[in-house]
Amino acid sequence: MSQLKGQGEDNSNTMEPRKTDDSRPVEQDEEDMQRVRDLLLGNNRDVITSPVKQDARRIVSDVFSEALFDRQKKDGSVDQVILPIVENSVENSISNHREQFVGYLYPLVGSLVRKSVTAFITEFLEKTNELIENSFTAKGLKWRYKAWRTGVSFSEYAASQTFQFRVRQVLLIHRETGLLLKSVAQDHQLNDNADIISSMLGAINDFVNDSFTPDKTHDEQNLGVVKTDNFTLLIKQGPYALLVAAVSGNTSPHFNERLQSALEHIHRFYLDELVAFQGDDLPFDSCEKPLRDCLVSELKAELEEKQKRPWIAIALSLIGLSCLAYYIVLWWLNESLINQIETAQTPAGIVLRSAEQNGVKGIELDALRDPNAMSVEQWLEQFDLGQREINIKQELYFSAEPQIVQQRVESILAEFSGLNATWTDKTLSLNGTLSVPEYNNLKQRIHAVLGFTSAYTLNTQPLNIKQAETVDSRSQQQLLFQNALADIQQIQFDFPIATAELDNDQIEKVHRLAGEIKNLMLLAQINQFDLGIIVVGTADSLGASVANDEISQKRAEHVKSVLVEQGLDSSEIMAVGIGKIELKKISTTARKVLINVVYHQNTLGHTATKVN
Amino acid sequence: MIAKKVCLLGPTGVGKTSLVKRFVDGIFSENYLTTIGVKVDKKTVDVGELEIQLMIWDMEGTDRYCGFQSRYLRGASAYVVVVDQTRAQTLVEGMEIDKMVKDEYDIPSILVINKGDLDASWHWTQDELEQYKRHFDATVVTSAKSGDNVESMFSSLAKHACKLRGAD
Repeated sequence: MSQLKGQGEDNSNTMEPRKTDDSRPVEQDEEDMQRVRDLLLGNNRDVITSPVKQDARRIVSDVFSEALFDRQKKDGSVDQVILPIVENSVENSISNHREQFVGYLYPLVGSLVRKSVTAFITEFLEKTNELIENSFTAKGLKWRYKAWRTGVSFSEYAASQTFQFRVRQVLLIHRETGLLLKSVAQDHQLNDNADIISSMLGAINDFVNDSFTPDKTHDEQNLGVVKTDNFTLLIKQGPYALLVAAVSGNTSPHFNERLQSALEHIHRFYLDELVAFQGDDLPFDSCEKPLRDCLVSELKAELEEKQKRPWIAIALSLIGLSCLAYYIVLWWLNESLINQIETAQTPAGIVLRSAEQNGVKGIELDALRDPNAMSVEQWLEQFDLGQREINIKQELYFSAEPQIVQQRVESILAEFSGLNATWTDKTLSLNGTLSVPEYNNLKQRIHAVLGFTSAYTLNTQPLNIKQAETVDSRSQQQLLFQNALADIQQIQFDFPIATAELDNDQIEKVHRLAGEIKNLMLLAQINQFDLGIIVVGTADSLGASVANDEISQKRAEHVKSVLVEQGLDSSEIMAVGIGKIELKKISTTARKVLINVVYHQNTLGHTATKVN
Repeated sequence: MIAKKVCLLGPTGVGKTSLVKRFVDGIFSENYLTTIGVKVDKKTVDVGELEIQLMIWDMEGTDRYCGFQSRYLRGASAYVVVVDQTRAQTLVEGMEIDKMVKDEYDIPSILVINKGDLDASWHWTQDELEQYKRHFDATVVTSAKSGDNVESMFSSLAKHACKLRGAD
């Protein structure tokens, strides 16, 4: 072409560097060339150059890419020429249209940054998710077991399960020698033995050729696919090179086309190198990109998505779960109500023994109830029972609770007109006027009230008892004395084993005794009796006699001392310990103090001078 | 790096695989395992300032019942014919193999007379041997067992593969 160029076009477009150190011979050559042109073409050289010029566009476009590639590969001069032009163009364009470029780039840069950050976070999350899923889930453990059984690494097995196919390595092999030209792999370790694999593939291909090509008139039989348990080797045969892809999983037809295109691309751009190959793989370093483009993978569609969902089973399960949840809620509400009832304060005279669920809609209560107490149903009205069936099982009992005792006493007092009752902490004081029989009747009935004597003391001193108005008032007074005497003498105090001290309840009882003794002394004075109190201490039959004598005496002394503290005269009380009681039925429990009253009719009209 | 394909040919049991094992792995085993088809190994050797990776195709032994697969030599840069100096017949068979190769390929070749650690039991005269040697670019007496001349033989093979004539 350069020989046909005109004068005006001469060396301005050529890429060849001109020699500058020895310009004379170059100028001489140019002059000689010009003379040759003039001689050959004269003034009509346009006749030859014009048709070429007309078709120049097509001619250049046919070989433009290949020519650029060849020249770039040869001396890298395409870069040197194009780079400054492109740089200048871009620089001019930016400086002339700065605002436009800012407008173009602004959304792009923002978008790129966002994409980059999103991609990083997504990748990080995916890797973390994958790690968690594959390492700690049942699926991950199952995969590990299967990988161990099949003798492959976990990562390989996971890849085979995760990807529909994954190209793990691509080899470019020189067809004639079987030598490796270039290899790229997902895992760099795979590249270590790529050259041996290449040669062995060449040998196997030769073997297939020898074995399955009947004679030279037939086409050579070449290997297309080699399949193993874990790998499929896809082999694309070209005239000078083979392109081999090691794939796990099942490839798509699309990938086959891509592999074929890559091989054709390599033949197109590296034809000269392939033909002249003498074992040096350096020229093929630059074909890494088309090979790497073949390292593709395709994710497996999630199996779960493909599976039909068992809607009926899901619906039944949901119904079952709803029923279970409803039952649990009812059970929980009942339990809450029962807990509320159990922890609530029961009214006087009602004792709740148990409360249980009776199915999910009922409650069963077991209670004791005093006849004077309110009904259980009435008590339950304070709770939100709703539509529940309440089954109450109740038994009658007599309550000793103060409130109930008071109610009982009040019902007795109601029968006596003109009587006022005052309840203090532990004392019932009666005020009003009663005849002696009424008084005796009232006192007997009040003392007979269950729980009264153990909790209250009856104070009848404010009572005005009508006496001496009837013929037999003296005998009535004597009767009162006898009753009071009998009440006192029936009193006993119990002691624990080997103890001469009373507990608080018994001390209270002694205090009440002191009141009754004072009352007796008053009656004794009316009836002209002299009296003395004998406090008798006893002991059980266990232990030594001397010790029993001693402890029985101490018990009597203790009770006496309490009575004296309550205002009784010590000289009118005698404490005596009689030691152990050797009576068969009570010998082991006779740790007591008994009260006895010694009295005598004062016929001389002498009466006690001191009454408390 | 420059890679070269070289082939080891010869009758069965002459020690081709043992030579490769001695050269590549540095070991020798008395156990005999016949090679089926071809086995490829590699080793890098220095030839002058060049580093050459030899792709060594260890071919299965050829005998009168087993045809020679010349296609395996396609693209080879050099080849070796190995014979056993304790069996005279192997030299004859080796020469037949060499002839078959030369019918198809014009590449450098080396005659390797193996089992040099054992006494030679063949009856060839020196002149006859020289006649045979003339067909090859070089002749080396080796012992895969003792390792004698194994390294140098493969070095020589690499040089011939690189067409560096006159290296011997």
